[in-house]
Amino acid sequence: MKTKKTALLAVLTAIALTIFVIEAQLPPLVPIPGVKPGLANVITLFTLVTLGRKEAFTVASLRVILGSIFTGSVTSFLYSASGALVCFAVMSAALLFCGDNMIWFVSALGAIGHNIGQIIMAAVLTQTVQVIWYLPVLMISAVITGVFTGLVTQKLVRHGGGIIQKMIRRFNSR
Amino acid sequence: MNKNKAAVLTLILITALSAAVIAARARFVSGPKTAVIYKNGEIVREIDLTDMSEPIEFSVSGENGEENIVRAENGRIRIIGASCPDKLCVKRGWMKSAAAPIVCLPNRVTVEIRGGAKENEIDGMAGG
Repeated sequence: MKTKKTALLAVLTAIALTIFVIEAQLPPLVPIPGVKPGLANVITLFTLVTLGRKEAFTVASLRVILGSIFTGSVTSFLYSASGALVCFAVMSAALLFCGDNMIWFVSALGAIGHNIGQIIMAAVLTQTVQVIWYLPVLMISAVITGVFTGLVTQKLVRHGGGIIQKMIRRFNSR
Repeated sequence: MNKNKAAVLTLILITALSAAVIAARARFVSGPKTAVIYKNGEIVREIDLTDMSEPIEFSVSGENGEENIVRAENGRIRIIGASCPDKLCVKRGWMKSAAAPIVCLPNRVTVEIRGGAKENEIDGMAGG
């Protein structure tokens, strides 16, 4: 059971990491740091909905650590980690109140949390409070990208969530 | 009101509020239009952007050899060159209002505009 679950989480991490690395290669949509689709969060949220908090945290933190090793620097790790941590906390809390048909909303709130976490980190690292004036711009971007990735997750849960849960049940019964 | 409607409304409200803040900063931050350049949170230069006859170009450099080249013209400012890998600060282009600052995260440089709202439009608004 444990080995199979580890393998499943490794597969999910690999998918998230692939999405993250490919997205990092794309030219930025808008020349504003922090504005990006954030499609890797689809996997975090999918794991959160279908498997649970512990599993999603594992996948998300592994993706952040490995993603920074593959694409970035220590600084980009700090931004990535602060954003992902707040995003994870917000999404976990929001899922307590939202059902499977409101994953898009959970995702949007998560994206907003992600950007708030990053802005706080940016203010600390640059030691410049003025960067918080970026927040309104990032909020608008978060609502758009968050709803989009949320709808993607919702579809994925609807069509693929059952398979994952069946797999887990089979692991457990053995 | 059902949950779905409340969720849509919440997101619309957040978006509208954010847009309002951006618009308000561009239009109502009064006083002479001044560009302030920060490096590591400290002001390295302040430039009055009103009635500039000659453009100014200067470099903001740091201990690790990182560098941003800033160009200021009458009423606008931008970063024209940078040693950072993503060059987002350069791609941002000209900044003409206080709406949102230019930030170069890798080099920890922030360029912000203070003031610049048209004075006659803000009569009766709180100055400052």
